[in-house]
Amino acid sequence: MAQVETFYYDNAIVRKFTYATMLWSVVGMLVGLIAAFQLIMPDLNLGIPYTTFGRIRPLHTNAAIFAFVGNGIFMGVYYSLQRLLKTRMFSNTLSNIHFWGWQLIIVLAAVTLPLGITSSKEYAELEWPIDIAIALVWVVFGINMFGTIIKRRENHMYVAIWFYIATWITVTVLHIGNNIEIPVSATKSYGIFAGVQDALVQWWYGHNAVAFFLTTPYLGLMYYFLPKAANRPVYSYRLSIIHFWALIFIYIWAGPHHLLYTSLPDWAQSLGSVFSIMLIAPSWGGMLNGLLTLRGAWDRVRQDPVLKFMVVAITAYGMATFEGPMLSIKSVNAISHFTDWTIGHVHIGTLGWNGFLTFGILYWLIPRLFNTNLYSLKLANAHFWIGTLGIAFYAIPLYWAGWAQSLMWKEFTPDGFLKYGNFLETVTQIMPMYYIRALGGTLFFAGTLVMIYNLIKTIKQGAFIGDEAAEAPAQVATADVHKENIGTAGLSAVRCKC
Amino acid sequence: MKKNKLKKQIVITILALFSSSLVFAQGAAATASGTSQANSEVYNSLLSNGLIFFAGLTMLGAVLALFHLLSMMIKVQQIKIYQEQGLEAYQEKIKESQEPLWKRQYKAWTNVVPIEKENTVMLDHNYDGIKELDNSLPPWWVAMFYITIFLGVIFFAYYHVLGGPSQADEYNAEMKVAEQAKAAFAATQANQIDEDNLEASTDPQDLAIGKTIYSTNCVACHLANGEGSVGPNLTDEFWIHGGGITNVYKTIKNGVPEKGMIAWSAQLKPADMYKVSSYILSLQGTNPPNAKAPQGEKYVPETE
Amino acid sequence: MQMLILSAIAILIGGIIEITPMVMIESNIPKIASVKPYTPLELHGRDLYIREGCVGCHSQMVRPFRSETERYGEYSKSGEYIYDRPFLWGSKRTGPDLHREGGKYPDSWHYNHMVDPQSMSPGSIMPPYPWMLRDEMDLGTLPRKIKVLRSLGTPYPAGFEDRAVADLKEQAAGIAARLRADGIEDEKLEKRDIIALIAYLQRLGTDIKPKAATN
Repeated sequence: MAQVETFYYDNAIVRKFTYATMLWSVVGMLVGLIAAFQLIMPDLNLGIPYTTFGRIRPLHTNAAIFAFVGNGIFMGVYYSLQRLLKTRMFSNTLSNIHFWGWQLIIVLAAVTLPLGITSSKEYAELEWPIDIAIALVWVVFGINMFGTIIKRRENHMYVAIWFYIATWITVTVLHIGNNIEIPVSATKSYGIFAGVQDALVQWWYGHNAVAFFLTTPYLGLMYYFLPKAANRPVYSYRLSIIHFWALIFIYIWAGPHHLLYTSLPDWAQSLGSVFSIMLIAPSWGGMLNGLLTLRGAWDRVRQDPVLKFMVVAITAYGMATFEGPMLSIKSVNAISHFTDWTIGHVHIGTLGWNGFLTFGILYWLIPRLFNTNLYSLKLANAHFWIGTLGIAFYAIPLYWAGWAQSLMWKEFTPDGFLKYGNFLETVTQIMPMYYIRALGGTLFFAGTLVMIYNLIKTIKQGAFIGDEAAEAPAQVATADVHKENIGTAGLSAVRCKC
Repeated sequence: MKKNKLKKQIVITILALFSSSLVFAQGAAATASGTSQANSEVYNSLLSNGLIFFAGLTMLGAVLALFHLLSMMIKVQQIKIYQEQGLEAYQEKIKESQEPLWKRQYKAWTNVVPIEKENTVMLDHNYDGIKELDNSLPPWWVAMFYITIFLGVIFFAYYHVLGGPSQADEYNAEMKVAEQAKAAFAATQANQIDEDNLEASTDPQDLAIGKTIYSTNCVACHLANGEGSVGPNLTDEFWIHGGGITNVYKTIKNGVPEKGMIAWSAQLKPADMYKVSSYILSLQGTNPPNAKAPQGEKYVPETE
Repeated sequence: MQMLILSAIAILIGGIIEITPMVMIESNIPKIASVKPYTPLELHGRDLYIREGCVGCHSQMVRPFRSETERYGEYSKSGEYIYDRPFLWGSKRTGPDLHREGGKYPDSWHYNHMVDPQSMSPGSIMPPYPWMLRDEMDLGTLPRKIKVLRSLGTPYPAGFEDRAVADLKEQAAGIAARLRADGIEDEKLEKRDIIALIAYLQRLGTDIKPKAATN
């Protein structure tokens, strides 16, 4: 038996990322809300170039993905990694460089995008100097994470950490691959790929930004915070192994499904479709492992807002990952592509899966960081219902609008003319849906404000401990043990599948 | 005893299938006799239905045989359990096999260790208090994974190995169908426009329709009263591409792409282009305020 | 660490199999002889299009469906995009596709449409872009842009970067003259951003001659 050592978890860095998550959730959603209202009131940019829809939209997506969800990821990773490995983060300095670097990048994004400094590639709009900054901060995060993994006191690595590792390596590859560009000036560059090649590389990136920034790290968070909150064992270790490897292997292929029926060569489109279909089961593996972990805890789901948020998040994940492959089927895509259906689909994922899981984690984490109870369960429950309604009011009208508009685009009169030859007719037709969508967005945003209030109250009534003491035996074994473990577990799982 | 029951079931199923197919065939015959022409079609459909029926029968037989084999293997398994684990385990197994079908199926497809017994699959893992069970993969999930992979392979093979249509082929086919439908529809329509022999309509109803078309499509360039802005003034006697109904109609139909006037033949039917042409000519001499200066030449109708 | 390497391998396979052939094998993107690089004025217009985020609402990809070729014109070919850095296919049509926009409307239509979209398309939800009419073109980086693009493979002739500004002015004068003929008054018209944007929009999709719409 190894000697028991005492050490301290770094909660201060977790608190920083928590605050950042809260702040950027409000900003990201607010900008999205403005964009939604601009679609029903075109003059809402007030005649200013910096606030037009074209410039606000990338600001919204970047803020929601990289600022809100990004900080959410780091919050969860910095909290869970230390505890799962029974050690403090590798370096306080790196943690802080990571935190402040990331916030600086967000601020730079918030300045440059409204100025129109953009590469215009979706979710990779930022220009080359910021791209380099992202790469540097990401490497800092990597060193910090792998340093922590190396000095761990736990022999085995829990499934959440596999997801963190896959996230880190894939985002590195994607970010570099999609941003190889030659600068013209400090604010302008041209990429080395052009036309069809550029499209393929962009959607290889864009799709996997969804996969490896919005999905895998969040699955990692789910694998830590859900069993913690539910106090139940994870349903199936074997399922985690299989669905992890299947997911990361298959996901990367699916990018071309964003380019169906375009000028991309047919074979590449088909690969995108085929791998998207195969992705249903690996994605659902995560959902099943999440939901089935709650076996025996469903009575608590009804009362505990944390679990409620998580259950809806996982369900939304399951819905979005089923819908995604369906939208990758050529005949469905012929209807859905270029319409609001896509926007509805994406928001099921982001509002439902990322949003609600983050909320669940915040409600669980903050009382623990501050050694207190949640200020108001009632408000949290109210937030849950407002938020759920918000998602419904957001997504359903957009599905409707997408269908309606697509059918109008495709409708011919018997004598062979487009029934709606004027594109505008198909826009004015769906305006009511845009109104309802804006209402849905408002509800969701209002829910978030309720949460922020509740959390601030909780923080104020608690007492924060920056360095939390913990004890664990020093690491006995070598890396060999862990190698053997993953290898054999993987093998036995494969055998059992038959 | 149980075997007999199974046999009876097979016989009943086969009979039922036969009778249903007879009913179906009668129905088909009835509809076929209604139409006079298609004897060979009836023959073909009978043949293909028959083939499908026999294929179905063979498959059913195969499934039943497999089922039989399976139940035998289960029995053997039960006996083995009795021999190896004693009476109690045997009885438990028997009890299980007597559960209703859906319950057994449900268990088989989910294959989960009940919560009460979950300690039997608890792994020796403990990550910050998180434990892990070693439940097997849900068989329905595994089946779904295999099916999607299978579908994926079929999909790819169909389009890229077996010569399925490329998207360009699909487009050409779609256009061909549309052309045919259009031609078929045009044949049923009497109101064809004879372009070379037009006379401007003065029918108020035609002009009203023409006005509606004008205000959705033309006002952007020619403004609400035809005074012109991007496009020329339509109310004076000066025309760039010729006045009179025939010229105006042709300008609308074919457009003047180099000057930005689009060809409307793709969006408006002949009858509508005729009505809007008539409406435009009805604006002659209305002298709206802020009219654009005359362009083109003064048009004098040819007299014969 | 083993985990890191294994996941890296797992995620690299798919990307490499898809991207490598697309970049390496030329037959994937059949060349079209009539497709020429953008002129300096069009390039400037294109960069304005990028700056304003037009791609957020307008696609540039006519799909091979009857409903799209009837509405927009001939469907888009891969060879038409070889000088597009970045590609601007878009993923949402809040407004119509613009890949065959070139030549659809007169220059002055676009001019008026940018001042006030509702004046040309009543009910449109596009915001006005008055600064396009106010701002003068910033051509400081134009020669460098040409150089960078040539280094990436766009076949601008040697030394073209030195003639780029002159070339741009010549093309701008033509557009300004047409706008003036339609009654648009502005002393500095040929220097405005709007001229470049119009040049780009009028160029879109015209490299391959669109099928005549008449039957």
